[in-house]
Amino acid sequence: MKRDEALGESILEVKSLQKFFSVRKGILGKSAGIVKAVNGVSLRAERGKKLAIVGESGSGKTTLGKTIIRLYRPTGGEIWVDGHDISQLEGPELKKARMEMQMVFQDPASSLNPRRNVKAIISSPLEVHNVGTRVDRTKRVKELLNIVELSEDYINRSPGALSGGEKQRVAIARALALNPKLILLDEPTSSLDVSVQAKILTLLDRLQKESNLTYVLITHDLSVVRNFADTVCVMYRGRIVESSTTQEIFTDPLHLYTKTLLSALPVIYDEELAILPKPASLPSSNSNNAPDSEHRMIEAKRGHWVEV
Amino acid sequence: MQNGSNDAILEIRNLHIYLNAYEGLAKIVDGVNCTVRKGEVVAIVGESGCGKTLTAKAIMGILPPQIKIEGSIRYKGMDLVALTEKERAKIRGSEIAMIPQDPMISLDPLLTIEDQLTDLICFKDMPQINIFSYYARRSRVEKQKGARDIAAKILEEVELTPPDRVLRSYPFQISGGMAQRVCIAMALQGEPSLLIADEPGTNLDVTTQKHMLDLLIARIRARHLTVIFITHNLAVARRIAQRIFVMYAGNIAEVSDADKTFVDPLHPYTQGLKKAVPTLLGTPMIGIDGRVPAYTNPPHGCRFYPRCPQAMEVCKQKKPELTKTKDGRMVACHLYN
Repeated sequence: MKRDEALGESILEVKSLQKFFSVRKGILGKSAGIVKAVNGVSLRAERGKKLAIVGESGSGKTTLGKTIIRLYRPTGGEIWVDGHDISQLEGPELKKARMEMQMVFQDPASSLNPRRNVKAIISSPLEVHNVGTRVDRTKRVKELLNIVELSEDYINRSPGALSGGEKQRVAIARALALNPKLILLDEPTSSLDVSVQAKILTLLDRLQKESNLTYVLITHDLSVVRNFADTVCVMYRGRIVESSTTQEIFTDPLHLYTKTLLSALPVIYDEELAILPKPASLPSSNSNNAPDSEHRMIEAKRGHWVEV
Repeated sequence: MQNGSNDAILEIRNLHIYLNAYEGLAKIVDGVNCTVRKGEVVAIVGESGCGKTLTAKAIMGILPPQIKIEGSIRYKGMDLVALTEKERAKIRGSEIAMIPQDPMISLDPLLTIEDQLTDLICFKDMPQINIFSYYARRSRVEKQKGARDIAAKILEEVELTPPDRVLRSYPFQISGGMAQRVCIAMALQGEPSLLIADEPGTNLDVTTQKHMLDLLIARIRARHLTVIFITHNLAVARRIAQRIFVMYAGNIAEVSDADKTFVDPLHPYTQGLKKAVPTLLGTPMIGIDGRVPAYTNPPHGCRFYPRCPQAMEVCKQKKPELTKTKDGRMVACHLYN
């Protein structure tokens, strides 16, 4: 995508990113092949904005997220974070680059070590990157607990003694520990109840405004996207098929897949039904059987890109 | 056979469920009253840990023995709580069936779908039998009943076509949506009159979930099933159910028609839920403060008062009863007494 000068400063720019996995002959008896989990994704996130990546499971959105923060090594493409290409970094340089970006994982119950207490969990990024003395770290942990609206008494508890929402707050505190510029949220509320979900999203919203964070939200829940994100990328079979502002995507979806996703959304109020497009159907989204045809995006409207 | 109110298929009266936990006796379900009419689809919604699944399992009679049940569950006039295990086994599957929460966990990973389905067909109203009589009967009954053909047919009914590949597969070889359909097929196999669906589709994508709900709704209509649909997704409840029971901390907080529940909620908890739900209308989301109380030491009086923005002095003292309002809805809150 071409850079539009009228748009804000970008903190993350991904160019034709690819991540392939090779499949060996396994228990399913499938012949060896390549799964193109992320197949040529380009996107950009503006500083201080919330970008959402939506798609079904298997569309490659989590792989994309993990590749962006370099938990995976990309097969091809570039990842520009704050003016540096991190796609090929190694060792100490990669470690340094990672201080700028953190991730909040899907299920807090499995992303927090049950044998460590809250203090150890939140201070571990500080230890890894050798930030401050022990006393400083403890002070920082208390500060972070305040930021995520947990009381300081939680410092010695273990994750098992926390509720789902509290666990996710601890995970957010851990992600904030190094003052990152970019935070990847991988389905941060999908395992939580609605009442807790609203609380966590409000918290994330507040944190972003306070410290000018940039979020990349990975989710399949479109109602959350509608209320949370500024821009949306719709992912299907390892590719971005449509991207625009949240308002545009919901009022004027162009790609068939976006329409399918929207029409499948269960809603509560009759007024919402009027917004949704008519039902459509599509083949399943296994990224490994995606056609290898030319992938081309056009700008249908100003800032509204769609695959043709 | 019916001696309850004329069209009620299921009547739960004053249901209490206790669990002996390390911290003491947990009073989880605390006096649930509900009536489900024949041919009706009702939804039970509520946060996790509010006793929805426990209530469902109590109706099915599949709670482990260390969990104590008090009160009565009358199904077509019979009190299920008083029945022996042998009598319950006859009802389970052929009268009342359940679609479990997580299909991947509820299907046996060591058996193919075919084995699981044919076992169900051959032995469905038999209580536990030992392994010798199992093998002795299995081959005979299987042939007699043509179990494999029946299995293939019921899979076709849930749109798993062609069924051969699914029949040959182990649960891990099929997708979550397919596993969910296998579970629906298993539940419908005994032609039950009452179906309990425990959060089906929660782990599925929106498109798969919609497909599954459409299928379920079609099956429900075709067979005039009575359904208790348990979910924490309010939008799904709104879509499938005629009446919604809102449950909080082991109590029924509100019962009303599905189209009214979230348009004009009565109970402060339902009002809180309404504000918390993300919608496409872009209304701000506001969560409910606090968390579900500890069941070993629940608050006296109304269990919601510590989180309730409209709590009054009486809420701390007295537990509100589920009472009828003027427009025929039911609510358990002192604000409406």
